[in-house]
Amino acid sequence: MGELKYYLIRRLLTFIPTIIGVTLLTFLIARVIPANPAVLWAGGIKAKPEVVQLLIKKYHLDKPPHIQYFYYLKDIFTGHWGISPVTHRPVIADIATYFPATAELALFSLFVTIFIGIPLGVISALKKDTWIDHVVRIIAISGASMPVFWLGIILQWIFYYSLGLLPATGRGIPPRITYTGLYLLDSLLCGDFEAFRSNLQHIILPGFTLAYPCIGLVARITRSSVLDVLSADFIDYARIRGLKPSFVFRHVFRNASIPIITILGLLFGSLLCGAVITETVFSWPGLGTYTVAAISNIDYPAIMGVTLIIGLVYVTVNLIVDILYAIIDPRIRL
Amino acid sequence: MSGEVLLRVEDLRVYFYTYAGVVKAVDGIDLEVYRGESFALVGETGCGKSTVARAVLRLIPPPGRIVSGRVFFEGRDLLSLPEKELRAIRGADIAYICQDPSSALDPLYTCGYQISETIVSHQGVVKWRDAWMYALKLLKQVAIPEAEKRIKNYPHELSGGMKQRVVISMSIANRPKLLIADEPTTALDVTIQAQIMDLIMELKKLYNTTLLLITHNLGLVAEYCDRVAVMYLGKIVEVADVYTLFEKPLHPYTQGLLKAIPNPLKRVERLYSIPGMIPSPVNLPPGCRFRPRCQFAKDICAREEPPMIEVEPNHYVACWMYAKR
Amino acid sequence: MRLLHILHNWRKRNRARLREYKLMFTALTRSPTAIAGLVLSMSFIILGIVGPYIAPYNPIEIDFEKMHELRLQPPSWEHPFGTDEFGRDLFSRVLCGARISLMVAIVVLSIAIPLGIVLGLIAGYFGGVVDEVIMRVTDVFLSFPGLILAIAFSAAFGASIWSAMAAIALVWWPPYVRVVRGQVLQIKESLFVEAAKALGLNPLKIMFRHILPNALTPVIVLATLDFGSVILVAAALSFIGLGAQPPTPEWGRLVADGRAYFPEKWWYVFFPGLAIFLTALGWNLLGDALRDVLDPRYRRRLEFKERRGR
Repeated sequence: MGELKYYLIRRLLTFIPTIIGVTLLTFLIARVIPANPAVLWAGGIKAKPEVVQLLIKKYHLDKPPHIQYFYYLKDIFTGHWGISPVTHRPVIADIATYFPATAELALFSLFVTIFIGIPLGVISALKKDTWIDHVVRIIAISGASMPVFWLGIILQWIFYYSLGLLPATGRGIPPRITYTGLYLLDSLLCGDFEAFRSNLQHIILPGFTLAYPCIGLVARITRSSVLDVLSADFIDYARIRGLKPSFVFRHVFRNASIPIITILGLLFGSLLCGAVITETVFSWPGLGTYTVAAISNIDYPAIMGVTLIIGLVYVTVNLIVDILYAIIDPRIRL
Repeated sequence: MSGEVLLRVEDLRVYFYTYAGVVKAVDGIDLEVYRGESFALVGETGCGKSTVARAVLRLIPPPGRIVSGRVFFEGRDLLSLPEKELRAIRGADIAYICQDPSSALDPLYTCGYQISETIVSHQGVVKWRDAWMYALKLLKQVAIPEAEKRIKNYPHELSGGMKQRVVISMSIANRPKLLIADEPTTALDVTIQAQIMDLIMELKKLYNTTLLLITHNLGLVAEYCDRVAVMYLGKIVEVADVYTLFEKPLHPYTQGLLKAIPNPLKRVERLYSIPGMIPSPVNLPPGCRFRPRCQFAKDICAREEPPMIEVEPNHYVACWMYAKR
Repeated sequence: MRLLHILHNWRKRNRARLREYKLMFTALTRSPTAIAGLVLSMSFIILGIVGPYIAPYNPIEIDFEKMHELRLQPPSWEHPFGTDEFGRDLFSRVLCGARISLMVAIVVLSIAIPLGIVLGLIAGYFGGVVDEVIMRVTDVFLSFPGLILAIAFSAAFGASIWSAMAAIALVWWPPYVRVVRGQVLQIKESLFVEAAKALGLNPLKIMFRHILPNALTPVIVLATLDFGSVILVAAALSFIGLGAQPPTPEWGRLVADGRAYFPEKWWYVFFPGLAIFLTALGWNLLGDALRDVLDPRYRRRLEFKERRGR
């Protein structure tokens, strides 16, 4: 376990330059690329000149870029992510309001992806080149080609307007008590089953819409990594040793899980992004709806805030993936 | 020295159905291995000797298939046994030491775990803790230094020779009756090859098992084995005890093989090599397979396959030169 | 005569290569999904070029006199995809949208791919500090999910189809750097590059004449798949209000506009979305097939099959 500890410390240290990179890029987009950042941050051409002047002072926009970056970093870590010129609230407060809904949607989609994608991949690996393998391949390719916003609308058409089976918009009844902001979890925790049912019904369509492109991808990755492992010598040798089938399966599963976990980490990023699009279709009150409103209102601080939070969540998720990776594979720890 | 037959292979045929055509890797061979002996199966790379070993365990990877034949182990036909019973035999009654220990061990699990699971898989209800203790004992038996520490190591932390020792300890974990060693030293450094072979022989004696050694190395055969079968292109061409084979090889192929061994005491201009190329296993020549490379070839060799002839007691050869016709 | 002679010689010299191409072609035409991909992607390109000329109606101008009677008509023989809220023919608008999507994909990829290739070549070939700097910058870009970065960039540039293109191109190059660099690192070790170096060829020549052609296979596959992805991302940007602005008949924009009338006027959303889906599907099917076809092992297997079939 000693090795693992050193690996963790090393990996956490490389997290620092990653954070600097992330903030540097958002800084460039926020302050350097726009021709007149102060006007943009004040809410566009309609902004009052005194507000613009105030912002130039506040963000030190009259200073050279590296000084500006320093203040930018300081603001980020002290929670000053700017004031929205539309809602007149601190961006970070808005994000805190909307983030749980998006997190819930993305996590739900991640679970859908895992519970459908991985079994599909395993089946298509075991039944290689049969009709089921071809079906999975078609699902994967059509998923990669699917405009999620359109899929969402079509699913609403089928399941809400035509069949009336599932609700099309919103999150449903809020649970009596909110601990985490994830309604599904909260309603379970406080035993509010009526809310839970309603939340579950509401999340199915957006969750599945968001997951669809990922399901096929995960199935394909699972298929190829299971096939890789099955052809490995050590699996062959496990059979030669006459191991119980459940033991052989354990070897296959653990070895195949490495590429799958890697791709799941990357997919979580696209789930967060996809949520921005999907939420718009389903009026899901999360970051996506917030972002789209910000886009139409030219609420630049809000857009940059969302970009930053998604970037931070994404690199954190990938940090977790790397740690999991090291726990699974002892060779990585070196 | 014929005793009780432990393993009998009858008319075994294993074909690989590849895109290039049907490869007849093993094309009708018969073998008998007696209890307690060290039997060697010798041949060049690709002659099908490993496939024979795999067929004994009925683990031929696709696109290969056992087309016909029977494999009797202690009187039971392994090829018609249900999968479940066969699994109980693999790794327990018949153990296997593979060529490359580096790829035989799962990199994600400790050596101790992998030895233990071999034990737990076969010995009914054994507690993992007991299995672990037994694994430790085995590691000491195969002379791994600091076994207490090594048992918790992952394969990548061990050297090639150590990994092979771990593999050997797995193979003896369930006291096998037959130990198949498939080129056990090929992937190792020359310096430790002898150590590993000595270890295998020592364990063979200790556990009173039978050894089926598969190798291309005639030196190993001379040193460690009692009887030998020589394989060429999916067929057995000669079977004899070691002394007879080395003293009086009958088949032209065996003769060529023996001539091709460098003799450290003699200085020669050029080492002998059998003329010609191994024909493609997809398009085998009719008649005797060795004919295109054989200097004694006669007309009949091109037409008919030579039968196996017992030239003298327990010395068999498949060559028209020795046929009575 | 002389020309024939030259041609003959050329064929002789390139016989092996020609045979490979022929095999690739047979391989591609064997699989029904590859043919479907080829047909879809090629018809997309053709429609992208000729779409505006064969469109039966003007896709942008509004006929104010007839607007009320033509408004939101369901699909019919005159208007196969129906009409929009201003009485414009949706079929014509979707046809013209093909050109916009084609343009976006071409512009984005012709910025991102060369940029990625050059950076990847430099990083892989020279290594050291240059490699380190290029890869760190690449990593920073890769530490965001692409779409959110594209949203931020195009918000910074201001909402227009051009800023969307620039934004997508800006986030699209990093995977190419990774792929090319990986290939270069492999090829660099091979003997023919060592030989070229020993002969004292200049690095540029080695990179572009000897390494690049051998590194291109995965780039071709990735580019084909990306053709579809770029179209999807551009449509998504337009859908949320960045990218193309009205009255541009961009497909994502059309879906967004049509939502207001959904589900009663379902055709408004359905056909533009279907166009996006089929286009992306075509490129993905083609890319998937190309991945197999460009793999020499797959071709060998096929060759054996062909021979045995004869």
